[in-house]
Amino acid sequence: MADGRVSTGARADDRPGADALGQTMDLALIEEARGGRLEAFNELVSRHQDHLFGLVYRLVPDRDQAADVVQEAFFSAYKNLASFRGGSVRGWLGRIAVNGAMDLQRSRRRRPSQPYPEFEDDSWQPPTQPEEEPESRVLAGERTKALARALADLPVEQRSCIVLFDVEGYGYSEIAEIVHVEVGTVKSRIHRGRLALRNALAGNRELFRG
Amino acid sequence: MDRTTPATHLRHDQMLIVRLFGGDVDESERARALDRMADCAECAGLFADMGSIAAATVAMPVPARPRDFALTEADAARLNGGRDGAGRAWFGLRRSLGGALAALGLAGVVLMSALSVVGGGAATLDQSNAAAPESLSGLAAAPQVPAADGSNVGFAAASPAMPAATTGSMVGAQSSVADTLNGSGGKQVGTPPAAPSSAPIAVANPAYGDGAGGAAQGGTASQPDTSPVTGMDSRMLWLIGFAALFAVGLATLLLPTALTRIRRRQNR
Repeated sequence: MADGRVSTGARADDRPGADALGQTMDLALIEEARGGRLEAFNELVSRHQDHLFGLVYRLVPDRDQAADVVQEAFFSAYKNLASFRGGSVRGWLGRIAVNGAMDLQRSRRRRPSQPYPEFEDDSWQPPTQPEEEPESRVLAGERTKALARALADLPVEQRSCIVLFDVEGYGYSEIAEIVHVEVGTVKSRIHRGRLALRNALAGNRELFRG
Repeated sequence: MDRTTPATHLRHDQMLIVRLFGGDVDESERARALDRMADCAECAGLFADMGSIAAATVAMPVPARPRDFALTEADAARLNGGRDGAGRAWFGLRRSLGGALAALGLAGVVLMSALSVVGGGAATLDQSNAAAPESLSGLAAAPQVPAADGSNVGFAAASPAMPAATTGSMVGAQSSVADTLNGSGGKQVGTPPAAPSSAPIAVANPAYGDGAGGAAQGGTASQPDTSPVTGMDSRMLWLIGFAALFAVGLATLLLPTALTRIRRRQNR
């Protein structure tokens, strides 16, 4: 963990071979979609919608709003197929979605009264491993709630940079390109955001240790 | 996390550890941070907390997406509509036209407001003519053309067209006209001797120049500009007109986009 990155296996396509194959498929689908084949674009949607929803959901603490942002991102991507200049399709879609999420958060400074309401709903349980002990399951649920609240309280600028760095695995300069700020600003947002998160979770230290 | 930070641990020390965690340190900073972590449980705890919080952030569960985001044929048609040549041309035209109208309206509103402030509630007709748009000046100036017999279009000729309500207030002006006629042989109708240059406009402007305050005031013909149709100060009419222009421009710019968004939300 030289640079603090956490290996979790959250990105299924991170393996070099799978990534290259997936990228090739994405590019082929983009070409077909540019030719007017809607099915090809919808295949792209199908390949990336879970990832985009997961990404946006960490930035927009409301499931319906996150879904709206993802839908708008796909609309925007379809409308701007011609402007795709190559590179990672996943990154391109992610950029569109992250900017949409940040725009939404900025335009709605008023936070929802209850961020991440799913976590407060006992009927919704996060996915668990079959071998997981009931006690650790409860612990994980409590940890998720506390973290969700703390994340939601961060300014969206800090939150988005942390999510892009930790969850998406982007580097500082890539994040700077995505959110259109200087690299130093990205670093500052991430470091300050981390400290703020830690302070916010000071009362729940036991949940995060051990 | 809940330990009290020692006095020796300033904020930048914490930041150094956080930067170390983020891989954002040079060699000397790295060595310094590692030294501090080796000596200080607080710093080591901070580093460990960074790791566990980051891990929890990555592992944070995400609920199932509420719907499929595939585009329908209708979505594609709508989005393609905005992408083809005609759609783009229409968008450009609408934006240009709306922008021009809004800018013109705003400029007019500002100008007329400024005139009202500078000229006060009853600016002289000279001021309003000087500042009014070309068309207004033209209208006001048109009756200045002398009659064929060489005499000016006299006040008597203009008076019958005046609204009844205003005639009372014009009595003073008529007296003044009569005096002037007696003295000048009808060449400077309605003009106080002190300001002959303003007289033709003041007199020969039956449609715009004979307002409620039409009595001659001192040496200058001071006649608020009132519409015979609405009875309103014509500057106010211009102001309303410009404001309407501004509103139409804004609507042209924004309304179609807003309607599209509303429709999109309803479709969802």
